Amino acid sequence: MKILVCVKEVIDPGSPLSLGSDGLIEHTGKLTYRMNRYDEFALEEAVLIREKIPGTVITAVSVGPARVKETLRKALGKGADHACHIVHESSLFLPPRQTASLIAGFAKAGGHDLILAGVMAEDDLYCQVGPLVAAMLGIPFAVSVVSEELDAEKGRVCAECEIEGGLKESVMVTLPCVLAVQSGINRPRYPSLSNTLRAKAQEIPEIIAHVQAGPGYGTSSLSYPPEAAKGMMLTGSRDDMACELAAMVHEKGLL
Amino acid sequence: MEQVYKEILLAGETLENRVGPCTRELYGFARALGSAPGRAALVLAGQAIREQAEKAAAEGVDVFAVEGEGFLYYNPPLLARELSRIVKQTGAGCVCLPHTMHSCAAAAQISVALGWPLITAVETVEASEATVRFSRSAYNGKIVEHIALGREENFVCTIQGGSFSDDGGYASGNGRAYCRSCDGGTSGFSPQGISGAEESGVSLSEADVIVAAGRGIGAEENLGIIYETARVFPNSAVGASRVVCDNGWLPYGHQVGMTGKTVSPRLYLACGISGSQQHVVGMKNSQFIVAVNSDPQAAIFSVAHVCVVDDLTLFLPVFVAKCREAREAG
Repeated sequence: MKILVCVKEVIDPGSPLSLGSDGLIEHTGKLTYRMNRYDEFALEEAVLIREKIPGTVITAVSVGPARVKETLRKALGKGADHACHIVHESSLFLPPRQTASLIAGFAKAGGHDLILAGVMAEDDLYCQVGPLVAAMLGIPFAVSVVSEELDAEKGRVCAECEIEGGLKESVMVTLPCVLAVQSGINRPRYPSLSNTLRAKAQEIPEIIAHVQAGPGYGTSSLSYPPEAAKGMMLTGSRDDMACELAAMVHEKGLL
Repeated sequence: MEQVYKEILLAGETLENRVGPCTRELYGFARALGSAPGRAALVLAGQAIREQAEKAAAEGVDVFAVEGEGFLYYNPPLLARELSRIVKQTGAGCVCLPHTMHSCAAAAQISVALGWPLITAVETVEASEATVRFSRSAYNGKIVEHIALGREENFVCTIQGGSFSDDGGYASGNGRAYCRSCDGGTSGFSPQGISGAEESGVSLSEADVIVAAGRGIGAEENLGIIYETARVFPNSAVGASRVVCDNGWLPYGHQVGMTGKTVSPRLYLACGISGSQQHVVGMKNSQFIVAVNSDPQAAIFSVAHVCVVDDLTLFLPVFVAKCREAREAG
């Protein structure tokens, strides 16, 4: 079984964000980066499949600038056998369509039986790359997967897909396919020491991306949300704020 | 079939032949785009959807209904195939779907099949003579992304739940339902069935007060403070954001948001919740929203009526004490 896992590096949600004069996120020294949380679940699912099907080989692929290598090393630490870096240096907005097209281009020659991705990226929340890659490769897919059972002999996966509001749909998908994995499908492990040591020395091959800002992608710019929308900010000492809030809920008859 | 021209297709969501509530928000999107009702059509795909299609047409909008066994449950590839066909049949230049996981997946397929740009989780749209401008949330709601397309460009989009008005009319006077059937399914993907939500024993919908925990509580041990805060209120429950459930700190029955419950209690006390759209759609109709978060940039503060920037592990115990004092004082 050959598995490809798509991982994205995102800005840690706890990092302070600021926009530069060019209207883009400022990548200053204050920002920390990490693997998209949803992709951690996708990677762990690949490792769980390898535990069941010996001989399975897992490759992690990521698109982005040089720093993305750190996230790929993390993926190796968490159990991927190989990693591949599709280098895209531009700090400009990379539409998910282009990311997907670069990954699909890489996957085309790979002969992967299964491609796993997180259901969305926690920074831009597009929910596109998984199904786009599948559409570009012309293979079936399932999204929001919360459990899966792979039958390698029959060449298919039975998956349960989460539906908004708490229901689940069970689907049958034939291999090769793409599964966009929902968070909570498993408990992602921490990188092991031996894997981390191996990852340090392991070579991560690079593919230089050729992206054309062609028509049909639109233009993108960023701004802060409108300030006026903010609620009433309590001020003063912790005691003052707690007192004021307690008075409010008391007045509303909630106590 | 006679040729019917449309500018925009609105793809309603159906499950087991019931039309989802988000369909009306699609009308809201079409209104915001400035598309006249006569130039839009609703698309409904189901196993036996004719009756629903005629009902929608009677309200004054043209409906394209596609019936097939493959549409009893959600079937993104089949929906994408049929929508692409209707696009060709009507000459439509825009397809809009609700931003749910399954519709979003169908949208991605249509976008590749037609070679059109795709914009997901759209919250506002504005059309001028030269451009169509969309906005959407990113980075847990801390940043707004604006995307502009040329007025003549075709596009596929999905709309974030709760962003477009679901009331107000959208009728061209006399709607018609065009029904046809479609064959089997697409190769490689077949829906098998639907299973219900597990009983959680958590009655979020009946509670007057929900104290909800987010990633910002930091550690499972801090749930104690959340429960203690909830106990101050007579009819209360503990809610959670998805991350808290994914971490195994609370069962999924506590989850509020797009993939969890939608609630509207008298008080929603959001503790350490960042305020991503995923969560906000499930609680923004609460009567009184208070947010406690140590991050002054947190997007939840734009939803909250009252904001407290503080460490919740230190603030909540003081708040609990003050509530008890206030109650005793009468």
